[in-house]
Amino acid sequence: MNLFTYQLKQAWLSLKKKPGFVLSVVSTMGITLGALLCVLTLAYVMLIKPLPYPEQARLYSVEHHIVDQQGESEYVHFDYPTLIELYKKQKQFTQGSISYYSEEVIRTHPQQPSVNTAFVTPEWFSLLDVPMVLGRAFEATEGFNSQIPVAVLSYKTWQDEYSRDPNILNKKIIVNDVSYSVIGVVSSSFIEPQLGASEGNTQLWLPWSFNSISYKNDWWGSFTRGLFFIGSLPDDISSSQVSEQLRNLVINLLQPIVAGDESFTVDDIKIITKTLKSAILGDTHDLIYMLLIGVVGLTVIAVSNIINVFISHAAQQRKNISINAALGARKSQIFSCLLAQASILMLGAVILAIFVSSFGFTILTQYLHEFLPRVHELSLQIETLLTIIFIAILFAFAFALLTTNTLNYQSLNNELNNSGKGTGIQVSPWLRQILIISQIAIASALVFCNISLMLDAAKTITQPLGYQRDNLNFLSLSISEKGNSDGDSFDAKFALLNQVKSKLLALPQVEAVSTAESPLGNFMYLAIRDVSSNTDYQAYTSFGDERYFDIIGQEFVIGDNFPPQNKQDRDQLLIINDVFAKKLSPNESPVGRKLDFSSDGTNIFTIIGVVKGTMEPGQNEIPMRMYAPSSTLAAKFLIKTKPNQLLTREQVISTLNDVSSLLAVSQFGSLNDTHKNIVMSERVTVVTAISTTILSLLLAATGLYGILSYSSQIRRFEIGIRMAVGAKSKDIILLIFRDISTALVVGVFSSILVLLALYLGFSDRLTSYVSFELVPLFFITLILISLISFIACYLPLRQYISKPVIHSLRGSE
Amino acid sequence: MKTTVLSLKNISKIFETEELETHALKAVSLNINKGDYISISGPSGCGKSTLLSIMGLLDTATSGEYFIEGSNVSELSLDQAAEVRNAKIGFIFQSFNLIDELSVFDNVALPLRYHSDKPSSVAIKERVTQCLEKVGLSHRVSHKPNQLSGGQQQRVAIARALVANPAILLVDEPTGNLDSKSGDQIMELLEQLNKSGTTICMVTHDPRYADMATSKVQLLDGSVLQARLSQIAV
Repeated sequence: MNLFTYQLKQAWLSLKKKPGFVLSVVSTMGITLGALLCVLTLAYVMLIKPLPYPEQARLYSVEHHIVDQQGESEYVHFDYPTLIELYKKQKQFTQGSISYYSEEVIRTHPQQPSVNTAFVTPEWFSLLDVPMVLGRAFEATEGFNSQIPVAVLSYKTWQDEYSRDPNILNKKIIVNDVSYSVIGVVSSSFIEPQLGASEGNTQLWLPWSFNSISYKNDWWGSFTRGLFFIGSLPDDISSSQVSEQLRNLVINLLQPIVAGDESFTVDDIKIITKTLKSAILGDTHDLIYMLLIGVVGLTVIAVSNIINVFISHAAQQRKNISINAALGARKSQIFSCLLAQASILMLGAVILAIFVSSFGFTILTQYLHEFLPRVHELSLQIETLLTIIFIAILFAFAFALLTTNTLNYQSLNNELNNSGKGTGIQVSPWLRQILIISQIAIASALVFCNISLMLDAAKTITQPLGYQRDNLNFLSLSISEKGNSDGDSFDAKFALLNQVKSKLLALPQVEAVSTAESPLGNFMYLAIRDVSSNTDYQAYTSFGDERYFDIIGQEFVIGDNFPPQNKQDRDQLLIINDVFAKKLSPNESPVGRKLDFSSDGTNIFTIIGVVKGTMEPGQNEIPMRMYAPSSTLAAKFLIKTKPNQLLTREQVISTLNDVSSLLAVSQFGSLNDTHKNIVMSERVTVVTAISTTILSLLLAATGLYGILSYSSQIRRFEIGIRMAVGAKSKDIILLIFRDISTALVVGVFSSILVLLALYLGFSDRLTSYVSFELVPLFFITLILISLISFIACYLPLRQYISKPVIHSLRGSE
Repeated sequence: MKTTVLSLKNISKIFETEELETHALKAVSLNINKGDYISISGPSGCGKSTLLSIMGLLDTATSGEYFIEGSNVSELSLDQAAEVRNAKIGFIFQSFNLIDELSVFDNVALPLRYHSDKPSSVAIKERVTQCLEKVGLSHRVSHKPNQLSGGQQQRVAIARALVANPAILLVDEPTGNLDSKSGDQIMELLEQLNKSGTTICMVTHDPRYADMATSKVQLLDGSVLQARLSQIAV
């Protein structure tokens, strides 16, 4: 057996006897290396790894920007006609594809699911070389202008909605009244490019010609979200040349159209051609670099902590080390012995890191795919794993080397003879103080920042919005146009919706139904003119019927509710909130005032009531809002269920089917679930901040424990002597705690300086977080840090104060 | 009639490891009266230091009873033992066991700082000066232990042992780390202290110094081999 193998065996045996030491090193380094592995992999996938498409380097995305006077982009969306003309007339790309992403309902499915749908031209599949598990992708014949109704399903849709039906091909699915024939299923290995709102999780592909865009051919300047152009460029042309040429193309098209329009000139248009990779990455570079800096900082803290723990451990082992030195072990052999221990511990840490990073990948994929592109591609990469192993080896060497260097080899030989006079391992007291101060400063700053982030996010989650959400569900319907001739369309629809309402009300679990938009839905931002003062205002607008305010518990301040809705009642009435009322008419009731929506007196509404304002999640101010009576043909409902009763999507669908086969659910969910989704990023922040706080405290505790355990060890005889002359446990604890109290105070002041520096450096971003509420929070942080310091003081002392004094004195004689 | 300061009844101490059980002390009984100067001697490993540790409440006995000035101290908690040690026992160790970071004055004052009566600074100063005068080191109050010779350090240790007016001084090989001249001086000092009324129990393996005590106890393999009849508890 060679010496290192022997030393590995000895190290293993020795480590088995020190589970606390092993646990602190392996857990700290495992979690840290895991976080490092996770972030490095993320950075690798996002910044370095090529896209998973053949010829990915030639793939480009074209963006249509409208810039303001400073040249800054105001909109980055295409309008429909421009995109079409670009697709038809461009000559630069060898192949180009246009796509539109939206959400559609599959009516033929029993659950009528809303699915992410992409309307694409056939080139989309060939550019990305989409692998198919069944059937085929779109062909040239199913291109831009064709009206062949075919559909391709994603693997997940095939699996979740059709239970991987092997006979799915040629089956019919109905979307927007069109019956499509399924021609293929995309393979599960396909990773879709995450462009804009698409989020890379398309469930259904339909031919471009069937797209559901409302503003099409003549709507120049109507910018629509979800429109994209991607294409493949030959090598002999640069992206900037392409951008210039495409801009000229667009300007030539637009020039005659915008002539005479003062509000818009072609100078405002900018075309940017960027690689598909950078288009997907968007502006997340900064986030990645921030994450990298954060995780490197975490690693530095963890490593400095573990160095302390190692030195402390070496101090405990000094007798063994001294015996080895006395028997002729060279310094290099002592290093090799310590390296064996460090290697075993780092191996454990790397194994734990792999688990931690896998957990991190799951969290990132599950919760942060909206913020981070390409997270779906996250998996353990051999490149980053090797980097982590290399870093772990470096750490093992560093720990062993630093520990060996703190051993005073010269004095080791005297150690056995002269054990009463100091030890062979000495870390200077000022270095110990600096280590304690840095631990406390970093931990206090981190804990404080994280708790304030957490409280801020928790405040948004629990913030009262001015109405209640419990037992409320929102239902939006789509009504097929089939079967309705133009003449009786209004009456038929009115009857249909009334029937829906009655049927829903008849359900045993339903308490009330209101025809209304969800209070968590999108309020339109509309311009209006106060007729009496001729002043223009802009306010968020929604609609509801006479039951709306009662159902959501929004109180009236003054005036009346809408009258009961009926077919003939087409009054132009308006209810506004108190914030708008105050703005509109600060000194008297605004009831009776008239607001013009058309600016030419053709669409005038009368204010009949004022309600208390409601808040939007995450906002600090109540916005100006107004509510119009819901149209008799509005297919949106708020459904209130009885307490503790549940209304499922299936029950709603079956109720609708009882009424008519023309109805489909386009959106259904409880307001609480919708609210949860809206505040998802805050919920992720809470979880992340709690984890980081715990991690910071754990790291600080490990680090302080390492230093203080070392301090206690070198003061072991002193502690023994004090106890021998009558010191009690509390005297010893107070003695040690008093010694670190200076470091504690300096550490806390340093953290205040760090926080101040942060505030001054990023004051524009942090102003909204800073308030007097942070003062008690800072005290909570101080209490936590003091508690951690006290525990870190007490634990190493326990071995001395809980045993007869002779244990501390033994060896001094 | 002499007052009993310290009384051990059938004290045994067993050290246990996974494989081995060592009987360090076997039913040791001993009485020490006020004003006694007793030496405990015997070969290496006979249990001298273990016996002294138990007598000084630095360690606990496996079985048996132990009384200090009539109070049973066999079952005290660690903190209660500290209080008794502080009030009743003065220690003198072979390697002095002074705290390097503290001055001579502070080393000597240490037991008073932990005293339950919380003496005032003036009282502490007075008492420390008195004890340092007794050992002839009143001119070295501000020195640090490592600025003193071995003999001087042991004198500081003696002053520290005397400072709280203990019932007994427990002395463990006081000359072990000293040259013979310094050793003799220390022994002389201990003799003087005894003559002025201090009760002393000293562990030594040096027969010459053992003879300086008024009574001798010999230990062998954890048992009392020979002692003056009056010292064996009846």
